[in-house]
Amino acid sequence: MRGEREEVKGMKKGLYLWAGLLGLVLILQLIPVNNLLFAKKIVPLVWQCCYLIIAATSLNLVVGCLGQLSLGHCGFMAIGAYTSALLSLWAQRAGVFSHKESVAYIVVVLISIVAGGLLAGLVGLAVGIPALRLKGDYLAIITLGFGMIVVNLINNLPFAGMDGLSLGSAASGLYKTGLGFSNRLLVKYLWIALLGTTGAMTLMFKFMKSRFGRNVRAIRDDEIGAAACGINVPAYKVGTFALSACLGGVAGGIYACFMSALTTGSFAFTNNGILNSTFLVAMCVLGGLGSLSGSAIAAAIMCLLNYLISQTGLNSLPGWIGLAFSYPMLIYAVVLVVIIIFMPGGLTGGREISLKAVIGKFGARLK
Amino acid sequence: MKKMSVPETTVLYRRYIEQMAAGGSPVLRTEGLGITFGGLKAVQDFNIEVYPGELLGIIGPNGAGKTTVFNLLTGVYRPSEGAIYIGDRLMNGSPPHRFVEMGIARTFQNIRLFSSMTVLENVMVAIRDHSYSLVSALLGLPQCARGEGELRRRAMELLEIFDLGDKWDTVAGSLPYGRQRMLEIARALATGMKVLLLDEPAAGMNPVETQELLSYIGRISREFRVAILLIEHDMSLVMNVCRRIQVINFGETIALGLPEEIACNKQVIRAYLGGDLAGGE
Ligand SMILES: Nc1ncnc2c1ncn2[C@@H]1O[C@H](COP(=O)(O)OP(=O)(O)OP(=O)(O)O)[C@@H](O)[C@H]1O
Ligand SMILES: [Mg+2]
Repeated sequence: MRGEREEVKGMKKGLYLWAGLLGLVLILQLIPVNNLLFAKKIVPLVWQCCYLIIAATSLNLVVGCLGQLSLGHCGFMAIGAYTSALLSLWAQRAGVFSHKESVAYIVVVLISIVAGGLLAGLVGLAVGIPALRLKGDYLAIITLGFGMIVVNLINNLPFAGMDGLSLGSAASGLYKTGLGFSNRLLVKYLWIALLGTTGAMTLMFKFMKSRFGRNVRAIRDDEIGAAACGINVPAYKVGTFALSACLGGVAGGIYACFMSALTTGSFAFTNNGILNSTFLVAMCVLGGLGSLSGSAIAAAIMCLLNYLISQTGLNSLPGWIGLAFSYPMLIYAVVLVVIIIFMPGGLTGGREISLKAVIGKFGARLK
Repeated sequence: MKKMSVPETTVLYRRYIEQMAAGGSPVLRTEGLGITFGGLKAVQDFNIEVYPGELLGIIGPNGAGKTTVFNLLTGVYRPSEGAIYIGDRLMNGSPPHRFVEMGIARTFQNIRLFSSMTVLENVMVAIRDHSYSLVSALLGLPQCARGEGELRRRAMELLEIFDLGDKWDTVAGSLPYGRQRMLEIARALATGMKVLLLDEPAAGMNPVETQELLSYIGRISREFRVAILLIEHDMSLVMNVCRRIQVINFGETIALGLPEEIACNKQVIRAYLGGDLAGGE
């Protein structure tokens, strides 16, 4: 039967994915940690890509798949980041681990990230229940406010402050004993980022492919029609929002591993980087609303573009080229505008990218 | 007490109702149902008893309150007075999805399909049983794939009934208008309902499609043993399909009767010709 065949196919695909990941991790272990290009350039880039991919894709769950504009996703990332950072600090004080090469440390890191995700998910639930009664602009404003409140709250938390996280900036001495990875550890524990990303993406894909995801898309297309099909619309909205928040929290946890110090500025509504609530929405639009693979690709592209502009010295080129590259936001804006004009549905037109379809298209073009 | 607006009925009609009542108690029942929108009484003192498997027409001029009645019967609007019972259960204030669970399904006057989803997905969304848990979906357990397979099979079966089987992979929004109406009925059937509410299903259909619709409605009522409530402007369709008719004007029931009685009811004719403007209010 068709269903069973697909079941076998799906399981095989999953198996290949995880085997591939394992292989990649093993190969990565072979590259010497003191390989400069690898350790100093590529690894940090991969970490950035990873948390951006999770953040953008999980936001697309709400903005694209559910069709509700949320402008406070970085608030959930902040909750995840600070929760996991504080948890790991606490574990270090309590003597759970003594040095960062131990198995205990890895366990602490993993638990901290998951806990950060769970807390963010709970907050998402609490925020979603009242907020999702509103629609469109009102919901956008509420979530925008939420993002700002989280940042201000963290800035003023007494225990965060006393532990050196006050005013949003962690005293690195204290922080380094917790979650933050050194350059060496970033290489050694790169698998944590890869595992987190693969896990989160798999979860989201499975969700959207199931009847639950189908119901979410039905709500986006027509809320009243969805309710008339027996879908509990409010519950689905809040549930999807909470799942998105939870994975946003996981992205925050991975971000906290990557950074040597946490500042709340990184979770603002806008800032001069590419990690902020506005830019995450831009990535969703760029990749195609409702396409998880699209937002992952868009996040990776933005990450690479950001790296090219800020790290490769393009801005020191002579003349107007250098000048243009000194204002990266200007370039992003132009790229976004051009893409939205020529590809209104984003890079993917809102559909998921399947490897088979891509190969098929290439094949057709070659002939 | 305000005046009771129960119109007079004929012996023939009462006998028909007695016959229906002998077959079983009403699946859907309202008592003095009413709703007010900012001072406007869109529907008032609406009483209806829907018996299992019956075909009942609701007619009335534009803006009479027919769609509003459907919205009340499906939980889209909360009644400001009166009561709705499904079986013995009082449904006032329940959310729409609870009405579906209790066996009420509907289509909409302005089609509400999931236009970016495929024809098959549209029907799959509405199937209530054969479900699997969230955990098995997230972990990709075999139950999930099996459940999906079963959902697909059931949805395909329904599509075949409406000759939509070969269109299963088409995006619903790109179907021709008449087909979209059929798909909406198929989707409503997928909920496994006891009462099906059709809001002007023939609107925008050409005569051929209307004829097709007629045969589908007959088939649904026979094969699925569901009660059908039909709002329709096409009089010949209503007279052909429905065994009894309830007429609404300005939110009030002005006549109840068998089709041939309604066809020559003076009040109904007056309502449709607009004579009511002078005499009614
Ligand atoms: N949500 C609402 N808010 C305010 N008024 C409403 C609302 N829904 C319906 N009405 C009013 O209630 C009255 C009945 O409308 P309804 O749509 O039920 O008429 P109808 O009998 O279905 O007409 P038609 O044949 O044109 O479909 C109209 O005067 C309409 O303006
Ligand atoms: Mg109407």
